[in-house]
Amino acid sequence: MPTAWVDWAAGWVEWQAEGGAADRLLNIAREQKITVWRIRQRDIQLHACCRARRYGGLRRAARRCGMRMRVVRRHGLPFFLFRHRHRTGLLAGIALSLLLIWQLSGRIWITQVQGGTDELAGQVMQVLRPLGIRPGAPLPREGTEQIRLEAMEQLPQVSFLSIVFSGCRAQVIVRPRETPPPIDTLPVHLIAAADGVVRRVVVGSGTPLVSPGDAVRAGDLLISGIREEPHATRLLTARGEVWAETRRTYRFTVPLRERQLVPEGETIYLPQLYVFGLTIPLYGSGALPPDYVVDRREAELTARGRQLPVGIRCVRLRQPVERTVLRTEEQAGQMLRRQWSEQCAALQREKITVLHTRKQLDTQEQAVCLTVECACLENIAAPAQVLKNFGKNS
Amino acid sequence: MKRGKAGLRRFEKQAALPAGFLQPAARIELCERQQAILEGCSALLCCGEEEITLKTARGAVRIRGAGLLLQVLAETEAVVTGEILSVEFV
Repeated sequence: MPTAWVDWAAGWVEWQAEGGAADRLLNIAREQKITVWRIRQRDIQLHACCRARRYGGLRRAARRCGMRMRVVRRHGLPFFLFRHRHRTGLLAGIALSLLLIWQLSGRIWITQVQGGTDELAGQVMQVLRPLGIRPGAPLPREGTEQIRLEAMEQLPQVSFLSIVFSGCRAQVIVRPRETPPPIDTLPVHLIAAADGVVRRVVVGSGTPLVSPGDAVRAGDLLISGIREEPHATRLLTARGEVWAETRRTYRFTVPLRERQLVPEGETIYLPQLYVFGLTIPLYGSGALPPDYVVDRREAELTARGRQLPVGIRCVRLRQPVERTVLRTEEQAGQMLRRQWSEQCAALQREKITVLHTRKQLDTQEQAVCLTVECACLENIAAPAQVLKNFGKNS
Repeated sequence: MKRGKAGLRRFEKQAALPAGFLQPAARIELCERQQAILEGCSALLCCGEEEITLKTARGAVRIRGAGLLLQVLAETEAVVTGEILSVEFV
């Protein structure tokens, strides 16, 4: 069964034969191992297709059968190239693109670092670049084990590193090394970091001095690092959590009239073309004004969500202009609510639960203020050294 | 020679071997009434829009239908497409 692509690459012809014995011609073709397809016989005409290379043999056979053959249509790459033989630019473009694909398919197009922070990714790439893992470098033939080991040697802050190739994309998977917490050797008390009413006490080590329902002030001793034993006094590191209900007050202010530096002035674009790790600036070398605001924009070319090694990065510099911003009370209120929700998110990150709040919005002449009084549940235990010069005296 | 072929056929049957295991045999595969794939055909006897006849080792196979097209004719294979009405050994 002829496949369409192979036929197209080899070139095929649609032909028509008239008179004589069509069946005999087809049988001769079969005997000569000439594959013929789309055979249709109408009256004395026989229409069919065959490979361009085999047409000559078929024509000779047709003459023996008393038939006259003629080509109706030509298809495929050889005929396409022949038709466009005078368009040298097109042919050169095809040849160049094939050459580029052949050349670039053996090189790294993109490098991506997964896991860890952006800073760590930068450090990893800085180490891997001289080892041959960079855009434009040839794909390593002897595997990546040696590169991986050398990189691990140079990166003590990384506990795991793996280089995986997916086509021309090098994916570097890293895991940052987690340093274990320092072993406490000094005796430590746990004291209250804020005023509050104790709700829950969890003791890891040490002597608890407060119980739920007790009111404490900032600096009060909560869990002692001194343990009295029948024949001795032991100094130890107090560990534990003392959850207490505390009061916090936040005040946010948004002015109704404000002078701001807004980047709305003259704009300078500094486009850069990047090709396989090479950055080509597309602007002059004049000195840049220092007070401009930098706005970096990257227009990356992607295919199926994957970054391509070619694109344009554009750095935009904008001149700041002093402007007076006027706000309505409603706009100011919205800004205050946003500030409070950001504060709530910050408290949540610190593992502080807001139990209940009382908000008060005051409108003054020039500003709108939001005062929030809230009751929070938080761990108020903070370490404090038992003896300041314990290490030196002992 | 004929006796030899008949003997092989008989042995195939007795040994419960699939037909065409010991000697070449034509195979016909039909895909509904739109396409017929013939393997083991040795010559084209007739080719028209309403009838296509192909020679096989054990006689000729006649395909009747409407708008028949000999899609491929290779050394031992043929693919017939169109509205197939009947396939018979003649």
